[in-house]
Amino acid sequence: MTAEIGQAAIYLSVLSGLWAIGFLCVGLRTRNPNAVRSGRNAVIATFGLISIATAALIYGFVTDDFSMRYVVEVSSAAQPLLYKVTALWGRMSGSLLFWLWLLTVAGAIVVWQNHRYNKQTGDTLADYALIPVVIIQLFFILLVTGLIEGVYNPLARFPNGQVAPDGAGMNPLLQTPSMAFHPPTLYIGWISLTVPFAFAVGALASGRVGSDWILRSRRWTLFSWIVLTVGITLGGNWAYRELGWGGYWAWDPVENASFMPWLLGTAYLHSVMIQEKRSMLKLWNILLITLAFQFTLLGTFITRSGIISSVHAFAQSDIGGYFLGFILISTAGVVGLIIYRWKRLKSANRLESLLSRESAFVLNNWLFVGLTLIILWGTLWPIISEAINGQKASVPEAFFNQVVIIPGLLLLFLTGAGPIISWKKITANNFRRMFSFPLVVGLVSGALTWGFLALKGNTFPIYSVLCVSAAVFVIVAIFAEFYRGARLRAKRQETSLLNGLGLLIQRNKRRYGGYIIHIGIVILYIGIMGSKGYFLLESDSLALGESMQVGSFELTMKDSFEREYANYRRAGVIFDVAKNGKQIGTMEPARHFYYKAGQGEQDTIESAIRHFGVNDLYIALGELPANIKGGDIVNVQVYHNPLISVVWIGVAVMVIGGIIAIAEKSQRNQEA
Amino acid sequence: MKVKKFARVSTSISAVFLVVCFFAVPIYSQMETSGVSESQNTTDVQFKSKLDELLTTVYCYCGCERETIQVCVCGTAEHIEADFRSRLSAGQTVEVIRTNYLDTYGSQFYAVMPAEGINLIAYITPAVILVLIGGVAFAVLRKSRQMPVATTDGDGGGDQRVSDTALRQVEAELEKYKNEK
Repeated sequence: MTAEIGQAAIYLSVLSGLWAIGFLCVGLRTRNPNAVRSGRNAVIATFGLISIATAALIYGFVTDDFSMRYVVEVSSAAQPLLYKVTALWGRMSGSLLFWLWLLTVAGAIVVWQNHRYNKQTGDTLADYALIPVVIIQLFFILLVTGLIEGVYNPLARFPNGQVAPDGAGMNPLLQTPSMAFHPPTLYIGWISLTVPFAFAVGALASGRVGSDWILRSRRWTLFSWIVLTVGITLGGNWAYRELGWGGYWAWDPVENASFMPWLLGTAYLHSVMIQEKRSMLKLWNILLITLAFQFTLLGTFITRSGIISSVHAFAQSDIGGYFLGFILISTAGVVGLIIYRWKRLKSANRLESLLSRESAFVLNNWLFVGLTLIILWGTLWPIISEAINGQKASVPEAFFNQVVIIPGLLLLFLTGAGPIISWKKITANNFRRMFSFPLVVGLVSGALTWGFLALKGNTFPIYSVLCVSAAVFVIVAIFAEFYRGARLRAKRQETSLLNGLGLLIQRNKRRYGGYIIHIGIVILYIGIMGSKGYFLLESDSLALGESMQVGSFELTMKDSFEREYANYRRAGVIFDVAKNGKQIGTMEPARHFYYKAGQGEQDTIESAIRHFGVNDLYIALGELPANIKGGDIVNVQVYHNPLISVVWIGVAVMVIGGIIAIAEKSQRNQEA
Repeated sequence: MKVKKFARVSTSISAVFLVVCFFAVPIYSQMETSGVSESQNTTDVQFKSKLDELLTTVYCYCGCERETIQVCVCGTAEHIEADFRSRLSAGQTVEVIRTNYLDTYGSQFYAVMPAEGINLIAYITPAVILVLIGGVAFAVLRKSRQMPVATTDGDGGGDQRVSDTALRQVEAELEKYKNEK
C-alpha cells in the first residue's frame, strides 16, 4: 500500500507542479498576489508530495518489501540499515527521485526564505525564480513517473503480485561510509547551483538584471561551492580507499563531470564581485551561472548515457537523450530571454585599466572556463576520435595532467595576485608595495627548491619548481594582506594583533573567508604536487613469512585472517611494518566478499592505510586464495604516497574559508 | 600609447608561450619515455624496465575502468602480467607484446595517447581553446575600456558616486555609531 501511496504522490506532483507554474505566471503577469501565493503554496505541496514518495521508497527498503522492483535491485535483507537507506540513490531510478526530492526542498526553502521579505516589500524576484525551479522539478517528475522509456518508477511493484525471496543487494563498492555521503553531497551541491541559475532566469524574466539577483542567491552559490568541494573530495577519498590503485583522482569522466560545474561555480563566485562592485559583466554572470547549471546536467548525460565508459558504469541507462534535450531546450530559453533583455545587460561602468582587479578576475574567469572546456574536450575525445577514424581513443590520466598544468599554474599565481591588485587601476607605487616582496620571496623559494632537488640528484619537472614558487608567492601575498589589515584594526581598537585579526575577519567575513580559501588552495596544490609527482609503487608476490621493501619501509606478511559479517566476509593478511629497521606496528589489507543472491560472491578491495605525518603507506591485495596457508602466494601492491594528507588538509581549509565567507549576511538581511 | 604597445606585446608573448608549453609538455614527456626505451635492451635490470613499460601502457580489460595492469589488483591483471613476463623472457619485444594485446582486446585498452596522427588534434585543441578564449576576453576588456556606459537601472549594483560632503557625513555618523557602541 505504501508504494501505491508514493506512486500516487508522484502523479499528484505533476498537477501541483503545473499548478505552481500556471499560478505564478498568471499572478506575476497580472500582479495578482493571491495567484502568486497559490503558486508558492503549490511549490510547498510539491515538496510534500515528493517527500511522501521518497519516504515510501525508504520504507520499502527498511521493511524489505521485495515486491518492489527497485528494492530488489539495490537492497537485500542482510544489508545494514545505513546502506538500506543509502540504496535510495544506489541506482538510476532512485537517484532521480532523490535528486527530485532535493530540488523540491530547494524550492520550498526559496519560498520560506523570501516569504517575509516578499510580504514586507512586495518584491517578486524570488517568485520569478521559482518558475524555472518548478520547470526543472517537472522534468525530473516526468523521469520518475515511469511513463517514459528508459527509466522505471522506483516505487513500481513487480507485475502479477510477484515477490522476490531476497534482493540482489547494493553494489558492494557503494557499501562504504564515504559512498553514503559522497553522492548526496554532490547532489546537494548541484541542486544548490540550480537556485542561483533560477534567480538569473528570474532576473531576466522580470527585467531586474542588476545585482539584486546575485545578492539574493549569493549564499546558495557559496553553499553549493562548499558542498561540491566536500562532495568531490569524498569521491576522491572513496576512490583512494576502495579502488586499490593508490590514487584519489584519475580524470575519470565521472570525476570530470563533478569537477566541471565546480570550476564554473568558482569562476562565477569571482565574476559576481565585479558586478556587485562595478556593475559590470551582467551578461557574463548570467551566461556563467547558466553554463554551471547546464554542466550539472551535462555531467549526468555524459556519465549515465553510456556514451563514455566510466567508473559509474553501474548507473547507466537510456536517460541521456532526455537530459541532452532538456539542456538544449533550457539553454535556448535562456538565450531567448537574454536577447529580449539585451539592452539592460549593458555594463554601467567601463574598465579603467587592463592592470586592475577587474582584469585579474576576467583573466581568472578565462582560465576557469578554459580549463572546463579543456576537461570537457578530453572527456569527449573518445567519442570525437571514434567519429573521425572509427577508433575510440582512450584518454589517459597523463593527458589531462599535461594539458591542465599551464592554466593550473596561472590560476595558482592569480590566487595570490587577485587579492592584492587594486580595483580600477594599479599604480606603479601600488604594484611595488604589494607585489615586490611576495614576488621576490616566491622566486627565491623556487630557486632554492631547484637547487635543493638538483643537489640531491632528484629528477623533477620544472613545473614542480614553478608550483613551489607560485605557492610561496600566494602565501606571502595573502599573509601580508592579513597582517596589514590586522595591524590596522589592532591600532584602531588599541588591541593585540591577534584580536585585530579576529576583528578583521569578523568585519569582512566574505573577503577574508575568501583569502582563507585561497590558502587552502595553495595547500591543496602542494598536496597534489607531492602525491602525484613523487609517489612510490612496489608490487610483489609474497607467501606468509616473506618480506618486501618499499623505500625505508620493510613489510613482512606474518599471518592471514578471515571474519564473518552480516552480508559479507572479510579476508586478508597481517603485515608487520618496520621503518628503518624499527618495528612500528601492523597493517591489515583485506578484501570483502559480498553474497549476492543468485550471483555468488562479489569482492571489493579494502586497502590498509597508515599515516606517517602527512605521508601514507598504502597496501592493496590482489586476488586471495581461500583459507590462505603457508605456501599460498598473495599479490601485494604497496604505495608510499607523500603529502597525501596535505590534500585533505587543503580541502578542509577551503571549506573553513567557505563557511566563514557564507556567514556574512547579505545586504538585504542586514537591512532586515 | 606605450601601455597599449606593452599590452599587445605581452599578450602576444603570452600566447606564444602557452602554445610552446602545450607542445613542449607532451613532447618532452615522450622524449623521456622513448629515451628510456631505446637504451634498455641488454641487462636483467632492463627486463623489469621493459615489463614496467608494458604494465603502465595498457589497461586491464577486467572491467576495472582505466586501471593499468600495474595498478590493477584483480586476478585478470595478475594473469596478464604473468603472460607478459613469459613473452618477454621468450625474447618478444615490448612493441610486439603490446600490439598483440591491443589487437586481441581493442585499442581502447591502450593507456598512452601519443601526440601523433589524429591524437595530435587532442593535444593541440586545449592550447587553441585557451588562446581563443583569452583572445575573446582580451578583446572584450579592450572594448569595455572604450565603450560608453549604460545608465544604472536603479535596482542596485551601480557605482554610485558620493560627494565629499556626503562622505564626511557618513564618516561622522560612523564615528558616532562606534562611540555609542
